[in-house]
Order: sequence, then structure tokens, then C-alpha cells
Amino acid sequence: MFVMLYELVKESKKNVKALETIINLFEPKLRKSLTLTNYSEREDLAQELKCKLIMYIQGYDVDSTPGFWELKDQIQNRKNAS
Amino acid sequence: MNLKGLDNLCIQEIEIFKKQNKEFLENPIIKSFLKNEKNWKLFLEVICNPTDENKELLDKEFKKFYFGIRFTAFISTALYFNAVNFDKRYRKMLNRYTLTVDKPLKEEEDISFKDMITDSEAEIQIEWIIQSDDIKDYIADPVLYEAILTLSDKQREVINLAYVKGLSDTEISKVLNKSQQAISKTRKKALKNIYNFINEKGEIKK
Repeated sequence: MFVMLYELVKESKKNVKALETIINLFEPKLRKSLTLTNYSEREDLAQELKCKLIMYIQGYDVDSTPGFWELKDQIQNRKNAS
Repeated sequence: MNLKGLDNLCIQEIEIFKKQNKEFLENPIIKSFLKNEKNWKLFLEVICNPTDENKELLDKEFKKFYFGIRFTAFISTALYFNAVNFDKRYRKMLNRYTLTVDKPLKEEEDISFKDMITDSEAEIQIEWIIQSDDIKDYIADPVLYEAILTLSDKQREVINLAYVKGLSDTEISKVLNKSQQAISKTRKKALKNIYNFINEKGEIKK
């Protein structure tokens, strides 16, 4: 699933189908979050959360993730600094 | 970790890398990444054949892996905090703009306005059920009670309307569709009957 996510998020910037797949993947977590509010408000919350999800997914910078060598340098630097 | 099928030079290289990057390889993310056999093979390949191509392949594979973890964590916390904030906002609104009917009455915290509303359309009202219009239910004195029982149905009806409901003779006459004089006569007769009954018994004590 983790490997799949990378492709999906990249794809979702222009493909709505991919976006939908991602939202569905997070559905269980979303459902759990609904228990945080009043029973009568849950439908509203679900809608709002989905809206936010779309915002977050499309706004996420895929290339901000450090690569293998980048992370190695980061950890090395942290070690040297401390 | 599987080092089989590699030449000595390669094993040496790996040992060197391990020594140099101890902390990096201890990192839980790197650790779990290299646990995957495919990734481990890629990693060995890079150490033994450090070409740009191999490096990039490993880099890409790792990026996918790391991205998945980071993204999932990000979305999960985002969902959680958004839900919490939503609930906060909802409570705030509820507090600020209470519905008039739900507002607690000034001093009594437990009673809200909606408890005080009566339904004028309702066919059954509680007062009607509580309030009996039979004069027998209002009498405590046993002698007077017996006196009432001796009256005819007609007399009792008039007495009821006059003293329980508090209607005048004219009003009663309209209700019963009789003349006012007839009602007056019936009422007086009833009272007289009661009076005679009590006199006969002679037991009323006040």
C-alpha cells in the first residue's frame, strides 16, 4: 500500500479517479474520527473532512520526501552537529 | 542479513559502509526498508556497483517507501485534528446561539422554556383528566355524600353544573336546553332535598 500511495498521490494532481482511490483508502481513519463529535453532526463532519482531504492530497508536495542518500546525509549531519 | 553469493571485495565494502554509517542503518525507517528482500538486494547492488543508475534505483524505491509512511502519518493527524476542531467549533456555536426554547429559565437550571409550553391544539389536556366534574368526588363529609346519592340524575346534573363548574342558572339552561326557570326550580329542589336529608339524620357537625 505504501508504494502504491506514492504513485497515487502523484497521479491525483490531475486524475480524479486516483484522488477518489486515496480518499477511500483513508475511509476507516475518517470513520474513526467521526466519533469525536456529536451523533447528529457526524454527516457534516464526514463531508468537511473529505473536503479537507482533497485539499491536503492535492496540496502535498510529493518531492519533498527525502531520498535514500539525502536522508543519509541528514542523519550524518545531525550526528556531526550534536 | 544475507551476504551469500557475494565476493570478498563486496563484503568488505559493506563492512566499511556499516562502520561509517552506523547511526543511519540504526534508523527505524531505514531498518524496516532494508528488511524487505528486494530493497536489501538493491542496497547491496549499490554498494558493490556504485553506478549512478543503481543509486537512483535505490533512491527511487526508498522515496516511495518513505513517502507512504510520511503521507499516511500526515493525513491521519490532519484528520484527527480537523475532527477535534470541528467539534470545538460546533460546541462554541451551540453555546453562543442557544435555541430560545432550550434556554434554561433564569434561576432554575434544570427547567428550560420548552417544558413550560402547552399545546393548545392537543385534544387531551392534563387538567381535564385531573379535574373531575362529578360533585361526588369533591365531598368529604359522609352524610352529605349520602344526601347527594339520594338525588335524581337530573338534580345531580344541575348541582354539578352550578357548584362544580360555577355556571349561573341561565348558562345551565342553555347547556341543558331548558328554560332558566326550570333550572332554578330543579336546583332549589335539590338543595332542599339535601337539607331535609341532613336534618333527618341530624348528624352533620361542623
